[in-house]
Amino acid sequence: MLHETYEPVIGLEVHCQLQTESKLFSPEAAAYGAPPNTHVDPVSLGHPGTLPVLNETAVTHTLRMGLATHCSIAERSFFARKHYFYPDLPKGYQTSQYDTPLCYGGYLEIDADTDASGTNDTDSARPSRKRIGITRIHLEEDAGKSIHDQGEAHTLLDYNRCGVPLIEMVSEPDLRSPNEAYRYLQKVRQLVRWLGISNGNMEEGSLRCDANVSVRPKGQTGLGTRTELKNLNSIRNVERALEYEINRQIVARERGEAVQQQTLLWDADAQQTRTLRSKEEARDYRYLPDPDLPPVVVPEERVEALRDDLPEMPNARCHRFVDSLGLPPYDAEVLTEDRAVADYFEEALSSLFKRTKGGDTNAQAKEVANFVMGDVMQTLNETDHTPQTLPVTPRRLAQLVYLRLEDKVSSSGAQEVFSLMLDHTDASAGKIADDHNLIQISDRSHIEPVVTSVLNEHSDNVKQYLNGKDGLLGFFIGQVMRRIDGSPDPQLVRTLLTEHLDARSQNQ
Amino acid sequence: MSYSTFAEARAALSNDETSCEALVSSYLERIEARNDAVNAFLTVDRDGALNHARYLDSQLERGNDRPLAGLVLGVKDMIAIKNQALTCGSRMLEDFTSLYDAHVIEQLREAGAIFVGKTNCDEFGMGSSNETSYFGPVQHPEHEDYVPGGSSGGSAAAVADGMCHAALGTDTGGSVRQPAAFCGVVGLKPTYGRVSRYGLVSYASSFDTIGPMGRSVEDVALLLNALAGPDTRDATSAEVQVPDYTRALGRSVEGVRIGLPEEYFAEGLDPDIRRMIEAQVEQLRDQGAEVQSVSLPHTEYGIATYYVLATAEASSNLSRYDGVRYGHRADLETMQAAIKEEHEALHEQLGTAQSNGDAERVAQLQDQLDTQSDLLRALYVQSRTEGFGDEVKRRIMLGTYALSAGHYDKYYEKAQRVRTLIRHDFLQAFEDVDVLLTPATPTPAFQRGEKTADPLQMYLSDVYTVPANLAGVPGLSVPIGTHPDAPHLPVGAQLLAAPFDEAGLLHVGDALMKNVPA
Repeated sequence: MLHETYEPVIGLEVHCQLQTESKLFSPEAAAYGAPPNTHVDPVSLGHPGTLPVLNETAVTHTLRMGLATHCSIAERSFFARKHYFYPDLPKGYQTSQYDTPLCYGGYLEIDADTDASGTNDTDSARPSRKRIGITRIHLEEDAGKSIHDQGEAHTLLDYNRCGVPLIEMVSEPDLRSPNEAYRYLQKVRQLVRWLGISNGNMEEGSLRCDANVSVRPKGQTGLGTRTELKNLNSIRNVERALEYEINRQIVARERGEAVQQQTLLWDADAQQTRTLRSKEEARDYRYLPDPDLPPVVVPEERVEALRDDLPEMPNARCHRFVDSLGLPPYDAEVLTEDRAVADYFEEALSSLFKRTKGGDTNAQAKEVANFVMGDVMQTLNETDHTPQTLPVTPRRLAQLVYLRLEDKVSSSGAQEVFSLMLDHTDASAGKIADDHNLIQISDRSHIEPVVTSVLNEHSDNVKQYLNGKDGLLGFFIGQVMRRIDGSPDPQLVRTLLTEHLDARSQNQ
Repeated sequence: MSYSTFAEARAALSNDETSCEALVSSYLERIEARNDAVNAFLTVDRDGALNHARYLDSQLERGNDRPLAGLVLGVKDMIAIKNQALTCGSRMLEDFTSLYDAHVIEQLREAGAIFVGKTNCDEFGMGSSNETSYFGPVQHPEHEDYVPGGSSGGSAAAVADGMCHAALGTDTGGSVRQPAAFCGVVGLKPTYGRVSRYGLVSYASSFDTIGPMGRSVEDVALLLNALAGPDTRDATSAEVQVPDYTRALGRSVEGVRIGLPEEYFAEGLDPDIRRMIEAQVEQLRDQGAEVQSVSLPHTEYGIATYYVLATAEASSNLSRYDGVRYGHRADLETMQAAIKEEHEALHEQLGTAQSNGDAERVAQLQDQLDTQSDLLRALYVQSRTEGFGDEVKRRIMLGTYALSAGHYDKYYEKAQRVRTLIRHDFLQAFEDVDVLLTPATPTPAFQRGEKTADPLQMYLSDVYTVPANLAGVPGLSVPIGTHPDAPHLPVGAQLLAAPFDEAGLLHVGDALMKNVPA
């Protein structure tokens, strides 16, 4: 295979819109989805005489992202003006950062390529990790939006997005496959959501990605000529565009053609790239330190306070779920994908621990995990609820899990109770189970007479069963269950039936 | 009914000898009579000024006094007043109306000032003679063939000619102090950061200041009381306490340490101006001031440093005028004609290159042809070509050059380092003296057209004022009499002080002016 003799080298440049009330340099709202040109003011439109004032929340968000990715924080950094003319850029320059980014020299950990070593280590408890270097994270303002496809010779301009804070996060060229790029982006998205600094939505454009990619023969350390890919508007598109582009570069090299340094656009419909501009057309942005904005000074104390204030990061939390709660790695991974889900899980668990006061805590954790990964996440997917707004609060879920652990409800009964709890928000799990006859009857003396009479009434079936037709056990269970008011414990019914049938077999 | 200073009008107002409305009316009459000749005002807000005057009179009747009630003020047309034209003396903004008030306008309105109109100025503040205004030059109030100085020439002329009590100017390299000296009025350039720039159209952001111009040091002090102070909308405004500046006035100069910077009395200074300054120095010495010579060794690099840094910032600040959202936009036909013309020229060159077999040139021209036909590019090029005047274009090009790849280190960065040295010179000098006394300009006002052909000569007329903008220190220009040569043009002295010591400037400036025979 050609691809086995070549190695791709990939670096990603991620732009991420920060969630702040106002824009980066003006008091105008930074809201998404409003009618065009309704979130504009003289400052964000760059009217004569207006001046920028830095939004401190955006700085804090950027610093938190930097700390979460192990970056160093610049004690003094500057904003710079990046000049180019375009109608959606009202000042003729974008206020960005140039040679002094707020954060630099960090890394992000992703799961290493499992197939890279040729071995499949899905069995191992924890996949090995790979560090992807973060060159820099800087803060800048977004431009407006040009809408070109509105009839010939017309371009519409929407300045709502103009001045919305963005972070630009540049990775080292450490990624070695489109799938690694895919996982890196997933990780970035998880992190910005985890920190609550962005919704990380690629479809809305709040997370955007450009990729630099080159190929080289395996074993070589120098870098090949790279191309830049733009317009990658979903994580899947990033992977596909990289696959396409890597293949294109390899084919070119095999044909003895040189790879041109250029910027390419990914056309998701055609599933191919096309040239946007060549190297010769590279722009001179004439960067100028912005004289309207004093340097951003971040004292050591602020860095330390922000560091102390960081939430437990997804990887650490995932490890803790495995190490101290005994959860399977898969469960821990799923539960820590979203911080609100992880919080929900932990709240439910601690509420449960208050009831159980000891016992097999690992089993209890696994039971809560099953509920969260099952009914809870299904409900979140199917409704508009978030973990915070779910009518089944963590405390109420703990009530339900407790009933289940005590065998007061069957597993199917528990599912039913859960869906009833979504509508009956004022009643406890126990009351709902009670009211709906879902409390399991696990009293032998209550069930045994029914077992006896069912077997007596179906002596033909009993005979067939004893002659090896095992499938009839289900029929007997169904008969018994139907005759008992309430919810007999199906496990107990099965056990009693088996006992009685065994006895009859010996009596034969 | 007209009073020479606002302080006098204020006294008359307190004694019920006049009203705000009467004051405004008398100034409107003067404007009516004189503005056609002087061209100091670009717009006059007759109704707005009279209405506000009546409102203030009714307030005064109820005992609601305000410190600047009745002050009739001209506002340089680089400062935004809501719903009023904001032209900056440029065709680019000929039809532009501001959507908001500058911070200083809010402050002054609150203090009782009445805005009578917007004053003429050099285009975007770029000029030293008021000859670069798209709306025609301003005439020196006393001598019709002479310039009033610039870029706040309209403000200086309006005050000198009695068309308003006082006016706001803006000073980036001397634009308040130089025209004040040429027209014989008092002009203050505050410390950078002392007065909010919010609503001042940027020319060179790290130099721009708003300053008051008046007929007395007292009027300027009264205005500064309202202008000074921090503003959350200007991140470069300073959180520094604002004193009552009028308390600096009427005090003796005994014990005040006055420095005379050698470099400001060197070659190029008009000998009569030198003698006039020296005479002032003698009087101050007699009154107990301690006068000493000091050195500001990097003065000679001031003009060069200023024109690298200020034009770099200007090229950036003026990028927003692109004809897309507001401001001048070229006609579609003009754009298409320009594209066609360029096309034809390129095709001609292409033909030549093809017949010469110059493949590289052919490819280059082909590429150019592709971008040249772009209507968007034509929109930018034509709108800016038509909208800006020559001096503005010259400075945009200078600044663009200084910031271009490969030039940045050589020009911009080097100039920044020199700027630091110049600032250091001043801070060093203010260890030993309280204020520096210098001529405001090397010559009195010159004739219209005298320096327009030679930009460098024009730039040198700011040689004494530019260093204060580089250093960010405050400066005050005070009239000290008229030049002995005919036609007896006014001459100004300049006082410079440490950052935020405007009170020190006003103190010495007041004493200086009182020494001048009326």
